[in-house]
Amino acid sequence: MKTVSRRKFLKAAAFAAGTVGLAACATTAPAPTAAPPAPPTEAPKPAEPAAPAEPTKAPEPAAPPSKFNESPMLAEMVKAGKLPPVDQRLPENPQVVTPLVSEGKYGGTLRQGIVGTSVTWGGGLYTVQWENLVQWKPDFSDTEPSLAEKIEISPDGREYTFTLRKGIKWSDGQPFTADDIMFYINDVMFNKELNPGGPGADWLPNSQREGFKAEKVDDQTFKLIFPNPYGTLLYNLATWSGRQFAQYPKHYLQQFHKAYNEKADELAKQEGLENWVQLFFRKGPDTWGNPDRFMDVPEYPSLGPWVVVQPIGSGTTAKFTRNPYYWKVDDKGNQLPYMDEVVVTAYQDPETRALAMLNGDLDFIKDPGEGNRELYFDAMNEGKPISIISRTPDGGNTISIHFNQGSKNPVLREVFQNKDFRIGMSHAINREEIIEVVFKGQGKPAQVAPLESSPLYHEKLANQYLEYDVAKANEHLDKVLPNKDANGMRLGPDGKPFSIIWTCLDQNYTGGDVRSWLQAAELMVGYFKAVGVEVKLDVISDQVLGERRRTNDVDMFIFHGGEGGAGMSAIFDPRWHIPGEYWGFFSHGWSPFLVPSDLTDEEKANFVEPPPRMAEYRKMFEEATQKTTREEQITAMKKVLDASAEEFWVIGVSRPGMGYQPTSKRLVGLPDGAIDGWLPGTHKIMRPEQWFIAEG
Amino acid sequence: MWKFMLRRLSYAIVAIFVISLVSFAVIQLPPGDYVTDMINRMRLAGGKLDPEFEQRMREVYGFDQPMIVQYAKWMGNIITRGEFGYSFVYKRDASEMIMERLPTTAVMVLGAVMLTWSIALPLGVYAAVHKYSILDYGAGFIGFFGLAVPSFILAIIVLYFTYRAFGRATIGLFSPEYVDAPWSWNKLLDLLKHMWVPALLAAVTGIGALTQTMRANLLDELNKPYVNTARAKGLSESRLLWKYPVRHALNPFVSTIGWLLPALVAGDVIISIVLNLPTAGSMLYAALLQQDQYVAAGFILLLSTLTVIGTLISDLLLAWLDPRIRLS
Repeated sequence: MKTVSRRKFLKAAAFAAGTVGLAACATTAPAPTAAPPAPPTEAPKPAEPAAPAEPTKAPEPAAPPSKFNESPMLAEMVKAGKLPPVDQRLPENPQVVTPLVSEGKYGGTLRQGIVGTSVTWGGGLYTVQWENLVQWKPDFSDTEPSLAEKIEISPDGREYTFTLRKGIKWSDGQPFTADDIMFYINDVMFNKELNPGGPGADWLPNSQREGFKAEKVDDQTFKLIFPNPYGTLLYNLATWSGRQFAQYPKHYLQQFHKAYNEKADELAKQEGLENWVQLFFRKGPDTWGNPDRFMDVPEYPSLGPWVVVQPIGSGTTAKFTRNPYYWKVDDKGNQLPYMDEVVVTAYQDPETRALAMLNGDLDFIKDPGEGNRELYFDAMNEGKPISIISRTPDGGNTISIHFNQGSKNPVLREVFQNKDFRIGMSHAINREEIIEVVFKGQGKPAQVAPLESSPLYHEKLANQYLEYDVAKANEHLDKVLPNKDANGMRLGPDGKPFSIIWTCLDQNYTGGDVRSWLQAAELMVGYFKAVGVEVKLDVISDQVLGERRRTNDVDMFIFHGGEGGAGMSAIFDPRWHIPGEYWGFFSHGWSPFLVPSDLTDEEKANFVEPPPRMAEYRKMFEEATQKTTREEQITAMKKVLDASAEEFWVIGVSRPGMGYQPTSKRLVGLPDGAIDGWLPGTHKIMRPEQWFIAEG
Repeated sequence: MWKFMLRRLSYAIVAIFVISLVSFAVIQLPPGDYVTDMINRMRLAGGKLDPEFEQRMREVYGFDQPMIVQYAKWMGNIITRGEFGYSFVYKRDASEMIMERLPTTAVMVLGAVMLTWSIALPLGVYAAVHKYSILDYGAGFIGFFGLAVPSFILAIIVLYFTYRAFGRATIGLFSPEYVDAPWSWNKLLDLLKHMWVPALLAAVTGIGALTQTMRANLLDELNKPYVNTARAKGLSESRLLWKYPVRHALNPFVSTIGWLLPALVAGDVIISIVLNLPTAGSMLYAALLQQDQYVAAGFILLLSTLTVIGTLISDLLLAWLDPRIRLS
């Protein structure tokens, strides 16, 4: 038996104590590991569409043997007369999911652990609920049909015709049809009372709102008609942005909607609310398509593989059971999901959850945390029933450093806008040392850019100004800040000591390893000091950041450099490459002049007008998203990336190494090396519906 | 006496009202609100959202109204409907959730307090009577150790050792198979298997202060002239010790019984977080973090009310215990 050394234990204890002290209910994102990126898993061939079946007739007394198999649990319910037979529950042409590892078996319970109280964001969203019209192929290379079995795109890229699978049903047995989609678009998005500010949805960008319409063709078919070509729509619909199409069961929600129920206002009063609008948001998704209802309200119809039977409430567990109407089958015709139940257990602290995983209390956790990598590998080597698979991070970089070129401080603004300053600062960073110290030797120096494996890979963007060279750094900085004081620290153009406040978040709920950013930032403060630039770290909570955002009070920012790395993702998440995006702090001070904002006039006075070329960049990007063929998209996006390389917006540190994912030994079906990130849907791309319990 | 009681009660009601105002204001002080938190969580995850959504959500949740209006609504609901306010995180009323977590928390804290007192008080008496004995020093050492080491570090150490010794760390209050099971003997046994960890931790951290206070108070009492007089009159040593000095030395404990009530409801927040215990205190902590304002405010109001009531009880108990207090 391998014992943990005293030092390691103390480190772990200090680590845990630190976590508690920080009150971080944060989970850390998987970060680098040793192995070079594995080749992406073989994409299973898209399933052959089954031969068009005859419409199911009412079953004869002696029903023919059914085309599909079902879980014994459901077979019993059918026998007892509580459920219609499986052929009537499945669509005529169910989605075929080829198992990613091996053919599964029915039964068992997935025990998933989360940190904090949100079943949705703790990882439940990606396991039990989220379904889209189209989904990513398992290797993230492109989209494939999902709820929709056929999508036709007009040659000009303005009209999309979606055909839904015939006979898909919500978890309560009611049909899912074009009416549900129309209800979402016409009665919710475009309802003046629910959305007085006009329609808001991530898949409908501002440039497409004026003149957009949706039309129902028949029960299975609907059209989305856009004013401009919209080539990247399907990418967007395969991500989180497409969630809302499967969130609005009209037959259930219409009782809370004034257009369908005149008494909706009275109903609201009975619930202690003021009007039907509040009632609708309380009973249905919030304005932004909040998926929480699927975790909290058992009677809320769902299209996901598992449906909630016991919400978490103020307890510590939530229970989900299989959706008897789930519309996917494996390649042998077995109705999915394989597992009967999902039980989500909430922990208050990531370290406690890690111990529970080692105890064998859990099968799966999202974001195991870079700090615990050794812990899991040690436990596995000791013979604990744990397996570990690797995951390929979709992110282009571990860390991005932003200088707000629209800073309200004119001195900083002038300096930040000078490219020589940014080049100098980039050369001042000893990336090898950060990789060694912070990322345990995983990864390699790089700027923030699409990955080598991506069709959008841009050599210059990824590799410019990387070498650690103090002389070169000083040479560039001398062009911007030539004067120094007696201690060798640089003076600003105004002759005053030059100093920058560097804002960093103190915690993160998801998708970032703040601890590693802080460790790296501490090192960088030293590197910058060595070239005469004074930087002071200022660690704040995200609420404070929200306030400072509004008054343009963030001059320098550290964040992750993820998203937009793998596959085509840079084209639907261009945050590092064009000005005006929400997390692109390098252009924050210009943002209200580039994109719609909700700032008051008083707040807006703190922002500055950008140089005219910024609007051109945004236009360039918009044009890229309008292209309908992949080649055209790549060519147009490359132009945007050329400009990004020329501008050198953000400084990056390193390409992340491989992430890791611990699971219990009994859980099978998670492919090794699957792309990991928000855009691929974290573990949704590993198809939880085809995971299964191998024994017990 | 009745007059005194009435006066005390009216003070208490005013105090509670002021506390409710202050606690509501304090909860509102930090920048942002539940909507900010919810939306940040999404945005950090990479989700894109229009700023106008945020504003819209604020209107839906009523955060755009002035604070005093929000307060009046909240207070009105407490008085007229017994509702402490809607929890945005749990989508239910705060009072239900607090009630759900109350029994486990109270049982746990009571267990810990009984363990602490039953060890600390006799130990304190013994240490005072046998000053500078081995046991006195030993009790002092263990007590100060427990006082000095933060409870969550101890919790982590205990977790680690249980993991190394039994192959599984003692997390939570039940094994996974019993969490949602109906009550049975086996479930009770399972609870006891897990309960010893938080009870022991509370005892280790609490014993030190109690023992030393008891010891010091008793030493003061034992040197008073009435003890000498009694001894001179030939009273037995044990009678001499228990009849008055110990009772007097207990005064400080009785006056802190008032603080026990809120502790019973909340439990030790940090230990709860480390050991993943479903106490009400950890719920308050989560509510504060997520800016679930009504839950947090309702909780603070409840705790403050209990403190006020507890103090009242303490005063009455003291008056009963010590005639000298009654007379002044």
